[in-house]
Amino acid sequence: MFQFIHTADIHLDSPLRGLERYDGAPADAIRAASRRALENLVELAIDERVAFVLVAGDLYDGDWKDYNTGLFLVGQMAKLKEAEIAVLIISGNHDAASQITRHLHLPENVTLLSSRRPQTVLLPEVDVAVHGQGYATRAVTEDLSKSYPTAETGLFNIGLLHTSLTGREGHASYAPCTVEGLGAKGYDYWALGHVHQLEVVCKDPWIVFPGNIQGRHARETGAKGCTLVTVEDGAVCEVDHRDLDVLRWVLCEVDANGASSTDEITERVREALGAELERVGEQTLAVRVHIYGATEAHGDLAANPEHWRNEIRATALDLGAERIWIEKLRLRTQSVADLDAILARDDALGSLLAAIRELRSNDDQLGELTRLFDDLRPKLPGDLTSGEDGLDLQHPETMRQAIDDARELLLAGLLSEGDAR
Amino acid sequence: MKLLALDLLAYGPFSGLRLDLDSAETGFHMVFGGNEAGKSSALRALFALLYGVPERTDDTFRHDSAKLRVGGRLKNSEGYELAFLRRKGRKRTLLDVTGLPIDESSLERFLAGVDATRFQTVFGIDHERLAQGAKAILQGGGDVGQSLFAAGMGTASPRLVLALLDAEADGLYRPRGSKPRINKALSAYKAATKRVRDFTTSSRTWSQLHDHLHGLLEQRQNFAREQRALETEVTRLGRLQKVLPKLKRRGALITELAELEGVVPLGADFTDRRRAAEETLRQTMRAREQDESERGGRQKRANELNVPKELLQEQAVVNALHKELGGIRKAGLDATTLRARQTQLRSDAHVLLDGLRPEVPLDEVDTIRPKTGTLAQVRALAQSFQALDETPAHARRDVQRCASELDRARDSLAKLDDSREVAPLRGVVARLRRRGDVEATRREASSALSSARREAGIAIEALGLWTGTLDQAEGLAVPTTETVERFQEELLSSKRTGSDIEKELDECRRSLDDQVETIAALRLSGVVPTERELDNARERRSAGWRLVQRAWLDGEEVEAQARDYDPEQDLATSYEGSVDAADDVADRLRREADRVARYAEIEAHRARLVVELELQERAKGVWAAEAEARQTAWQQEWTPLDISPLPPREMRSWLTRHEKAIAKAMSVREASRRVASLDQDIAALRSELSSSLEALGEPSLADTDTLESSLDRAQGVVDALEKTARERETLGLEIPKQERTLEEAREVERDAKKRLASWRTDWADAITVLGLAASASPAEANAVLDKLGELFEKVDEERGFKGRIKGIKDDAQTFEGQVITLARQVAPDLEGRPIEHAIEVIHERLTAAKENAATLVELQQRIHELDITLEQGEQDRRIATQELQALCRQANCARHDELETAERRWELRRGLERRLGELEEQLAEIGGGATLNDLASAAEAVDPDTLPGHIDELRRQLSVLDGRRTDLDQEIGSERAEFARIDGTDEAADEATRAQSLLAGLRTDVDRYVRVRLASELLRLEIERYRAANQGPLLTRAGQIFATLTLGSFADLRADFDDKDEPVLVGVRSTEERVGVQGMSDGTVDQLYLSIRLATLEQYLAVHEPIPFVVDDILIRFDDERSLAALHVLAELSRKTQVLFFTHHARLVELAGQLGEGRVAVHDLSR
Repeated sequence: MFQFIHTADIHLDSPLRGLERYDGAPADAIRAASRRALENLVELAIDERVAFVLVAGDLYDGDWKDYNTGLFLVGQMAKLKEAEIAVLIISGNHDAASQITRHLHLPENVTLLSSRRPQTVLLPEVDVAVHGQGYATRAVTEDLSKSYPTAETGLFNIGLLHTSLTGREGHASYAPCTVEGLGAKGYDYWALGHVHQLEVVCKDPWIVFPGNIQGRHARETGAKGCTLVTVEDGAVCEVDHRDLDVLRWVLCEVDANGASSTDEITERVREALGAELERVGEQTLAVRVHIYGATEAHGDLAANPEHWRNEIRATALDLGAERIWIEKLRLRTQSVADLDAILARDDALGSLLAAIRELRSNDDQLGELTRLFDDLRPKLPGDLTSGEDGLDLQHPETMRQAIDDARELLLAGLLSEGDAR
Repeated sequence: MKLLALDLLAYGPFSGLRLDLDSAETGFHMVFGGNEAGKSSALRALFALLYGVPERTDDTFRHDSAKLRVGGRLKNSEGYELAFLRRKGRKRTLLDVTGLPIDESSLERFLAGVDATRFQTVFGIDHERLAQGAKAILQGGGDVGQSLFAAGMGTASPRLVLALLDAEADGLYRPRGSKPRINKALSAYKAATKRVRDFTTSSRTWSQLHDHLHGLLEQRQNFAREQRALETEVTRLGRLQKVLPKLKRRGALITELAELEGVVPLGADFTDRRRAAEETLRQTMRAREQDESERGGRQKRANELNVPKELLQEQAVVNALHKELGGIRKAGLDATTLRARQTQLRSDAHVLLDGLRPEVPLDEVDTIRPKTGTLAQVRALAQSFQALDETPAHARRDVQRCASELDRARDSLAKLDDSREVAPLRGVVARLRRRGDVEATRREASSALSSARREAGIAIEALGLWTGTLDQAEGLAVPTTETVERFQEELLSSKRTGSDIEKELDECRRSLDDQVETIAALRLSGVVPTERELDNARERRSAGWRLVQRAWLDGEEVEAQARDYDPEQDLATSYEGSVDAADDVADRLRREADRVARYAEIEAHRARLVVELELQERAKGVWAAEAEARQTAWQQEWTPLDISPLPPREMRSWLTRHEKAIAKAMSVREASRRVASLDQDIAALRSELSSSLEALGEPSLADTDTLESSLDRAQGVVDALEKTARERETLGLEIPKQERTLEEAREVERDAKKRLASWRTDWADAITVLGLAASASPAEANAVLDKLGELFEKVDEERGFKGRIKGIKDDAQTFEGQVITLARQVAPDLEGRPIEHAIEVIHERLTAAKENAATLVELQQRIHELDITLEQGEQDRRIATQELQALCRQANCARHDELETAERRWELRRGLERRLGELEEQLAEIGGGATLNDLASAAEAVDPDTLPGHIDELRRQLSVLDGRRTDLDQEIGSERAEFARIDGTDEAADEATRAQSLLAGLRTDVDRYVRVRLASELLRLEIERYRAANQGPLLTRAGQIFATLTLGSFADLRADFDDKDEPVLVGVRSTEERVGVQGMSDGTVDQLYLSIRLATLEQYLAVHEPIPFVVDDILIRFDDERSLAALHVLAELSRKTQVLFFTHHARLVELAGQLGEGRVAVHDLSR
């Protein structure tokens, strides 16, 4: 019997995104998060006395150039060497772009498989053959698995591959292949990488994405870690997922329906956060709080979101003793006042709402409005405006969303002005 | 909508005040209330009526929260009316006039969609809002758009909202700013990314550093090699340079040594031995001289010393006597003092004795010494005398006191004589107390009776549907609850049945319509073939075939039939056609089997539905008749009571109210009975008390006395009588006790007198012994006793002194004898000298003899020691001489004064040999292992003169090399440090994380900025749009109102343009002069705002259900004339909608009077 660890998408030294600092935020928790997750991996490998560790690509983060990152990796690999644990790595799309590897000398227990053709590495102590091929370039569009050799008889065969399989949401399509195609090779286990979410695609043969070892932003929620595989008599007998992350991303949805005051909402948030804390045990959390529903407190919330953001942060601080980082407060509440009723008023306010409704559906007028930001737009850093969550101030949908919020802001202002009596 | 009445039932200070606002003449109502009259409460009540009582309200100071009620009656433009109540609460607060909850929707049709906020802002105006509106116009510089927009919403100003938004946007971002948050965050992010770059080490940098460092290390190795070679050469030459002079000195030494070849080697200790022997010899000679001279001196002194032996033998006796001498001298002195004391004591005793018994001589004084027993007896008797002497007098005084107390008690008893019987009155009082405060109970009962009557009255009034007295209500034969419930159930079930039937009918009709539609749809997509069509086609085919058979097989003439069969075609063609047709139908039936089946099914269903519909119609008829009958029966049930009943559910609550009324009536009867019974009780009690008092001779009760005060008086009488009885009883017990005490006192007196007599007899006997008369007092006896004591004390002491003087004299005689004996024996020369001198001299001689004896012993000891020392010195001298002789033999000398020269020569040779050895050792050392010969030959090979120059040159080369190597080491050091900095640190990664944090903050701020900026822009656009749409008509109308309100001071309002080309409001004088808002007085701007508000309101009223316009004291800044003008304008407005004008100011009421008859209805809240 032997065990091995299957991991991927370490993206070493890739920074955590979206965490605005504030007083009381657990700033230490995010320092070198990916490094600490990797340390956890090495520790796990040594504790479990695994025979070898597989890294299915994306050890580094593409455009990250710091050679220190490589040196840190060498240090960790050396620990595995001391414990006589072999490490087999293929390069992923990010590694192909990484410049760190060029001059880096990894310890001799580490094997970086060829990226020109499929390579087979035999591990005679455990009767294992590992087949794999890394990425020579950033975008690999052909099915690499096609040219992998067929299984070696009498050995436990593992395929090491960086792929999006038939395509996975949120992940670029690289080295496309199918479950059937992989199954046809006759391997016992396919150790895949690239997709950041744990997924056991198939159990015969085993085809597994272990996910990344540390979530990097609000879209990578939930526990992150590696897969610990136990093999007995030449067959997989257990596939176990182990957490390695040091900071966990959570989406905390709070229903504000029927809440009559901001105090009540804050209380609901407190409860929800408390529940999350209880659920994860000792783990530090990065939480996106999403408040939705129709509430009488909508006006108060809409008028001053910054105040409520601070309020929620304080609540978290109070509750979590620096174990919670409020990543973002997303307010999607609605007024209990019937928008349609106001809209039906044929006075100035009704007419304002009607004009906004009209504007929302008119892309030309929206385009006109975007010119308000002509000065600001070019000054914004590329990191802010590009990417999946990028802020595109010229996109009609962005404008529509902003206009909806602006409408709430106006209603809150004008109606409270009306209540001034 | 219009408010017909506002009922302030229980609200704020009001209880049941009605404002009747239903006036046919005018819609302008002025509600007047001075301070504290509740004007504001009335306003709030109006709002509460329409939109509910706020959760927190100040209007509960008089009525509990739960009891707050306001009622009202509304009428809308369609003529519908609604009367209702409002209570405070969270839900179901709208009630009908009977107090049952009704749905809010009943009210909504009257409010025409105007919600609470809008009612307050658009249809309400108070002074504060007017002032705010005016202020906003001023601050906006009369901006037309903003002014109209604000008036259109009734809010103070969108300006404030805009200002807040703009301020927030400015705080977030300014195109050329550096302080706003986004500007700051942008530069912070830029700086952070730069730091990331700075901290990042590329792999190329690393490898460059690596290669460079290795190059430097190699270079340093080469230097080291070169340096080592040079150093070796310098060392070698330096060695030769050192060796050359030493080699020369060595040659000279060897020559000198050759000359000292024959010198005898001496031992290392030779000189020491010689010197020691010579020294010993010298010392022993000197010591012998000294010792011999000392010995002679001492022997001579010993011979001269005198030591008397007899005296030394008697030294113990001499010492003892000398020591005793001091004691003898002292005793002689003491004896003198003792004799003086003795004489004094004897004289004292004499005096004392003369005072007591002069007849007795002093030497016989012992004859009068009293015995010890007698003394004790006299003292004891004297001590007890005082107590016995005083007792009879005390006892006499006690007897007198007891007798007088007894007399006083007998007097008091004689004075107490009231003995009226108190028990009957006490009984009556106690009984009355137990009954409690009957009069208070009576008062409570009476008040309960009034309130029961009041409540019963209210219950009867609240009954509704029926009027009459309480007794009549009790007599009503109302239907039972069960009956009403039965009706309720029946009517409800009938209603349900009706609606079920109705539903069924609807369902049937709808299904039927659906079926018909489906059939039509099926048909639309082509005729649907049926089985019947197939049968028909086959029938026709068979008929054709039979004709063909007949014509073809039987040869019949069938032309006529064939024409019947088909008038158009011949038989063959038409038969063929019929075959095709039948096949066609059959084919279609098979091909369109689904459609056919569906069509058939639908047809069948439709037929069923038609039947069903008919059945339901019939059922509906039956149900309607039944329902009618039930309704009639229900009406009849109430006919005897002359009541036209509401539905059963409401009549059940009527029944409950009726039942309550009956219960109230019973309460009234019960209360009234109780009052009567209490009155009777009180009369009986008074009479009983009165007669009891009379029986004791006290005045009887007057009619004006209350029962309570009479009872207090009776209690006073009882208390007084009881007190007298208690005192008599106490005295009766006291008198016999005092009689006994008097007798006891007399007994004590007798006893005391007897004991005194007995003492006097004993006393006389005792003191005779002391030589005193029997009449002597105890004090006198005590004085004689004290003197006797003193006398015998002196006598005894004098005798003691006498004995001691005799002893001293005896001791002195013994001492003298002993000294004379001693002197005879050891110092006959002293015979005849005084004793004390003799013993002193003998003692001094003894001391001198002892000292001489000791000195003699010391001298003899020293002489013996000197003899031993002389013997030892002789021996040492002999040994030293022998040693010197041995040394001469060894050094080959004849005499020992030659020894020193031999030693010097040997020393010289040894010194040379040592220096040679050292030199050779140094050479071996410098030579670094080379032999002396090698060195010598190497030395021969160099030129001693050029050698130093050569070495200097090599050293210079080395120093240059060393300098270069130091530089290299420094460079390596700094490169190493640089290289060590790349150690896998996470600085760059950490900085990148920090940059991401900044980016996240930036994102939040940008998102917010976009929203705030958009909000401000959208509001601006809308204000402009609103202005463009409404400016014309609104301004025209507002101008007219403004002209009226300003009494013609202004003729019109117009839009003009300011410096920035923004449209602004201006007032126009009749002279066409234009005045901007900044040029108007506060009051005028108030009027300007009011004009726009009213014009906007009129615009609304033109197309909507009217809503009352509620005005709260807005004319504070208006003078009388303009106030009157404003009242005119409002009166005008009241033609379009009701105007409710609330005010504190009586002056406005007066002014309203000037509007003319029937133009305004005034309601005074204080009445």
